[in-house]
Amino acid sequence: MVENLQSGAVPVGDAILSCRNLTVRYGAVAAVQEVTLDIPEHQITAIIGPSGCGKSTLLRAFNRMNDFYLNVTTEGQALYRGEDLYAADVDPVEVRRRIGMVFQKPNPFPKSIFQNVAWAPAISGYRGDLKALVETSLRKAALWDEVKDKLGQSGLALSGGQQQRLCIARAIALEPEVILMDEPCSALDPASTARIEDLFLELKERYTIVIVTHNMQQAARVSDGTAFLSRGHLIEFGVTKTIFTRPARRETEDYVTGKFG
Amino acid sequence: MSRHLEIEIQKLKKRILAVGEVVVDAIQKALQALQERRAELAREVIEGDRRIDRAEVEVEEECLKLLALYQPVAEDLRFIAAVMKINGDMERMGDEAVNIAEHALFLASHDPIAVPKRLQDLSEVSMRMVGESLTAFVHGDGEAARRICAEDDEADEYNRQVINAVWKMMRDDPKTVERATHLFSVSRHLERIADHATNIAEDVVYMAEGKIIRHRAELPPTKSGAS
Amino acid sequence: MTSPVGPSSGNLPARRRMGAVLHVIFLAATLAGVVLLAILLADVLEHGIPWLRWSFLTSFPSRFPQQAGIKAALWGTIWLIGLTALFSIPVGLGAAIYLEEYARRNWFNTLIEINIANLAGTPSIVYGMLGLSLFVRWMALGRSVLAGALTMSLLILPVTIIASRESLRAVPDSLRQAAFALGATRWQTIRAHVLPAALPGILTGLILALSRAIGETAPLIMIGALTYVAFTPSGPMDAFTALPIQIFNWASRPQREFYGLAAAGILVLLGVLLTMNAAAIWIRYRSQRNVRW
Repeated sequence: MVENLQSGAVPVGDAILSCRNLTVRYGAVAAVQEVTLDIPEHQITAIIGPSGCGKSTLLRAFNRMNDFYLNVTTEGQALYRGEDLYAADVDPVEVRRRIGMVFQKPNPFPKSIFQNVAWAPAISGYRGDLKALVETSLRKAALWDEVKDKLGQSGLALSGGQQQRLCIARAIALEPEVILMDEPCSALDPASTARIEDLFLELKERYTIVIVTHNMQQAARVSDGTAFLSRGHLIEFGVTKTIFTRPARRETEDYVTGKFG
Repeated sequence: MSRHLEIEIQKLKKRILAVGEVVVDAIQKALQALQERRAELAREVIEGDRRIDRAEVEVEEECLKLLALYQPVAEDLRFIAAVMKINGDMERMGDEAVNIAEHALFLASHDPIAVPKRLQDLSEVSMRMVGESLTAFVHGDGEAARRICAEDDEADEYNRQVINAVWKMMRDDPKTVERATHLFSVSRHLERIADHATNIAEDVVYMAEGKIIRHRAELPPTKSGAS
Repeated sequence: MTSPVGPSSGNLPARRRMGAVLHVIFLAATLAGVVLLAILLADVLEHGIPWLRWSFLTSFPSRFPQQAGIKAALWGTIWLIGLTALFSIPVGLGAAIYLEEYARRNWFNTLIEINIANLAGTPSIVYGMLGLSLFVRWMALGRSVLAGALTMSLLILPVTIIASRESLRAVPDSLRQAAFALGATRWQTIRAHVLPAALPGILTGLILALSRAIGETAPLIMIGALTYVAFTPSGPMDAFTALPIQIFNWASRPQREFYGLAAAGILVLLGVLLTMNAAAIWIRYRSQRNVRW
């Protein structure tokens, strides 16, 4: 709803992803209710809110990963560069190649590091030099120096933080335009988290990042814009600085100061 | 986590208000010493400033501690930022009270001089502004704070009138010149106290509304509060 | 050690005694099975080892105990198991993949699942009858190794499907999600990630199912495996015999020597079983090292 947005405080930029009155239901329960949001390009947008507020569901709506859950209905629109992601003639597989995802718990394939990064481009018909692509992706994920001599080693042999960077490299290898991250650092220690947060700032130049996080300090540190969801509704969406110094809504204020949730 | 912060914030509020009380008391005593020509009262004020200085340091350290440990945001952050600035203004008000006391000390040990009525009015306005600004702080009342900013004009006007009156006094009776210059100073100090009260009011507006209204000719609040 | 002070420590000695008694009882229960098995094994070894010679493995059965061998039955069993594996892998695995990865939760698929579970418990002779009418008569395959293998495939199909499904289910969903999020189709995901990860479990399940099949006699008799065969199968359409049948045949002869031959046959059968189980264990061991979730 337009009245949820504070005019003048919305992050400026072309919207690469948006939703209009998006509602996602699991059976009868609406996890996301009538959310309207514009995600600007080449920025980091954080989605915060208490547990169970629908932020992960909202994120998954953008790359059609909700399709894999039972009994899910999606109403309203989710748009990618203006095109409806849920139109009948849209292939979800193609959507997921343009809009990548990194999960909460690092989940590299039980294959070699090289295979982890190279598999997805290979199966989607990449005809260029796979080795170069793997190197570029690992460099962009700030992992190359640590693994360049052991590309044949299993991805599972890496530390938690390295595994997550491997998952980021794997997602980047497809050259998506948007990377969705679902609490990417919550399973990592503070040092790894800090490294990955630094990575976000570099990635922002080439990609658009949407990050769901329950860690408000992380949202404050890293994002340009922040959206606050509560019980499926979008309460407020604004420039991060504003959300954390003088939010427009009482509920937002209570949440960021820790008075509830 | 947040409960700890809330408790600490309440404690901080009590602390700064306690400092406020001491400062108000000092100003009152200094003015009383001036009016009633009481040297020992003036000395009390001068001695008492040490307490205010110490308190200022403690409040500032407490604020920094809360920022470091709790990383507060939004209204908690604005509150602590406002307290740090109010803290500074109050310490300077205490210094102004000391200055007034020093002038009172001089005047008490010399022949009496007629204190212009306007000086009395100015001291009332300044005291009132200080009290109102602290009340606005306690209640987080942005509207009341904005009204205080408007009163600063009144204080400035009174100061000008006091200066004119003292000029006239000096022209009429040159023997009063040395003592009269002290009256000039007292008026100026009172006017500065009013300025500090205005600063406190501006900080209260920031705390309540998140807007920084310094350095702007701020009108009394309109319906929508637009700035 | 002095008992700790406290309201509930009064009957500690009694509780310890009870624990010790139960410990002994459980141990005895374990040992009972083991001891019986050991006695059985000892008897078989005692009677069979004298007859276990190389010529035993390379000779055909004969009326004369000294010249009798197990070659026909051994090769019959090997042919049978080989063909059974050949048929049951694609069908069993295919069904498991469909049910686990593709099927939606509806009444139809639930019905299939219930039926598979029931079929797993059906007595093997029922499969024998099915094999007789379907493969031997209707498909006119006669009493061939092919008919036998097809019948055995049906027999172990439910168990194979269930074991394969368990292996597929054991693959963490996060792996699939990762693959899907990279824009892979379902089949690409299964082929590249799910199957390789589930393969050890699937193979182990298959081998164990085949181990059970080896010992099944009733269905084979029903479809007409011969009991006196002096040749080894040279093609799938040939007649055949199998180890359990040969053993049964010898054990029912009156002469004492044949009892020893039967024991030797049992030892060969056990040897084949042990080899298959060892292979299953080896596969599992190799896969545990490579794949750690």
